[in-house]
Amino acid sequence: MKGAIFTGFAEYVEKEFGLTTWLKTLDSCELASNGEYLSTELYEDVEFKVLADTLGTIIGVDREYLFRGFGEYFFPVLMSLGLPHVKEINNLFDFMRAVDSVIHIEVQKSDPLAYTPTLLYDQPHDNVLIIRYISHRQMCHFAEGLILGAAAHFQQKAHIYQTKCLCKGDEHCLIRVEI
Amino acid sequence: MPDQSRDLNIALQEKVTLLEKALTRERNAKKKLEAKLDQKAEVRLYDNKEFFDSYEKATSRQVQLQFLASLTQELLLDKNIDESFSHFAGNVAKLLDACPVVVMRINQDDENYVWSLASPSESWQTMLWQKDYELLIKPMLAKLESRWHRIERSNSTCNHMCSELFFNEMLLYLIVKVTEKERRIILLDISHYCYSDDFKQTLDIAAHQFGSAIKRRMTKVELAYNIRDLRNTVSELKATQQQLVHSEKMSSLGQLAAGVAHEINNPIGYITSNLDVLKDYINIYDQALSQLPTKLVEQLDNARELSFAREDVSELLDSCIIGVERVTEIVASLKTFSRKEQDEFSAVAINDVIESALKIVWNKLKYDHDIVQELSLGLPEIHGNYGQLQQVFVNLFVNAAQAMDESGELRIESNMIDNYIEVKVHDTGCGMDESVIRRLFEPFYTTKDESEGTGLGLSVSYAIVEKHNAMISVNSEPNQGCTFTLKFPIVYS
Repeated sequence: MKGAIFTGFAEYVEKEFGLTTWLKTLDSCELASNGEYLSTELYEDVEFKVLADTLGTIIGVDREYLFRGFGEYFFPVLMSLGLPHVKEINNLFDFMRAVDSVIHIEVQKSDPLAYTPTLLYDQPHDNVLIIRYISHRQMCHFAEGLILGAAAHFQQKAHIYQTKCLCKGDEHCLIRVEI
Repeated sequence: MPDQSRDLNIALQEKVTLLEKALTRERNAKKKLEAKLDQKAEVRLYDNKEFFDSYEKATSRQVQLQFLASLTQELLLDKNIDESFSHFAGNVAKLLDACPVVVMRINQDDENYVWSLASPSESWQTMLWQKDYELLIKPMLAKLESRWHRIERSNSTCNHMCSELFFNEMLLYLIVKVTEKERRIILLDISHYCYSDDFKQTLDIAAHQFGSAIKRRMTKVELAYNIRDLRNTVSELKATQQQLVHSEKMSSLGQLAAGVAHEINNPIGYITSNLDVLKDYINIYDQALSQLPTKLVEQLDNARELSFAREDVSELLDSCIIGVERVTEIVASLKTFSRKEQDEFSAVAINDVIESALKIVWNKLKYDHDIVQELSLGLPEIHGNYGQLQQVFVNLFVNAAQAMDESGELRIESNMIDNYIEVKVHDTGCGMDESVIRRLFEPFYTTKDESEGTGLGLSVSYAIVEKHNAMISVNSEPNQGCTFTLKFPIVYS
């Protein structure tokens, strides 16, 4: 997983739950990287889960909640990077469609052959976009948070629900977004 | 460990603030460094990005091309329509996460609609969905053909049918025109349609290809039907032309024959009458001569010739009378050609006619030939002349017997086909070649010795059959036997 996610997560935790909570989380985990993250590098996926679960235990919230909150927090960060694929976007659905490219480029910068999740889209109606998310990382709730963050950013009211979810044993997630 | 003695005596809170500032500076410095690294990584990526993008696109295109190629290959195979639909629907279903698939056949016949349902491997089943037709299928049929459309399960219009057959979130469907009256709908029961644009485009191309292939196939079928119809028409025209030519010839010959018969009739009448009178006169002369004294007769100059003439004249007269009788018979036969003749027609059971004709020729056939009768029971009667029809069958049976020199089988069948009674007379005799068949019904045409036939039997039979508004045809090849087929129209009262 791209280091930018780890550094972003660190900032999110620090902002939401305090620096010491993050430091305690790092201190409570045995991480191959020792928590020394550079946004430009790639790190083991498992580290992120360990961090999230440890943090969840410390502050008493579940992983889903953390990921969704982190996603919401991370959207403005993403936009502030001025990435070529998203900087001109002005609506939620266009952003959602661009996410796939953003992830690809950001991961490939570190390793052109690195694993990336698959995001596939279907728009049955003008106000509905369905995303099929396939990834062994099971970050669908982070994606939900990003969508919520984007909706807030573009001042669009979005209703999100998953009809299928990797975390529940399905072979993919189907995230339906209605605006 | 820092040297505590040299550290400034700073309050703890201030120390924390300074450390936080230091951390922020370090963090900012790290971010700047990461941004620089990121820029370099981006430059490096974009140097190779074209290659990676091309590689990715090529991989994706390869899968799509493989699918389209295999589809084209399938479509080129000479499969029937059901098989083509089955394969196409099956292959597309496999691509869409092996979703359930159904092919629906809808026939539009005037105002009655019939629709059937089948999964590709099963036989068609009729489903009664009158309610669904108006709500679901009719709107579907209004959509563009050879393109994918979809309907969501949440849509209330598909409640009834969907609940019976489909389980997933939506139906992806493709309408394919088969004929003017028949449409087929391929229905895919899918949980989502989240695929790449390339993938969806491939499906669209496949749908278009499939629609075109079915159109081509149906055009071929239509062409084949047209060719068959044209061939039938040509052969019908040929047959009609032959029939007309033959009819015309028969008509001319018949009229000529009937005219000749009429002209011969009078002289034959008085010749027959005169021969009878002559025979009586000869008898009188003979009796008178018998009464004369023998010596007186012997003294005559030509006594020897007179004696010979007296012996021979009776034989000559009998021979003349037999000859004239034969001529009378021929003249009577020729009269059959005259259409003016009024015959008595009544309801006739064709099987009775066949059986009575067989009795007449029984002696010719019973020893050396097998006779097989396959006469259908309960045939309706036809309108005809019993005696004339009997004459036709006698002619055919006698000809069959003569065609089978030593042994053979005479098979007679009668059946009802549509509005006709069809009688087939088949023998296993010597058969005929095309040149004989062409002239078979001509008056005076015969392949027999002069003493055996006049060449009028089949021509008379033909005339009789025509009078009955019936048809007679022959099918034969040398040494392959011969089949005469007669078709009598049934006249319902």
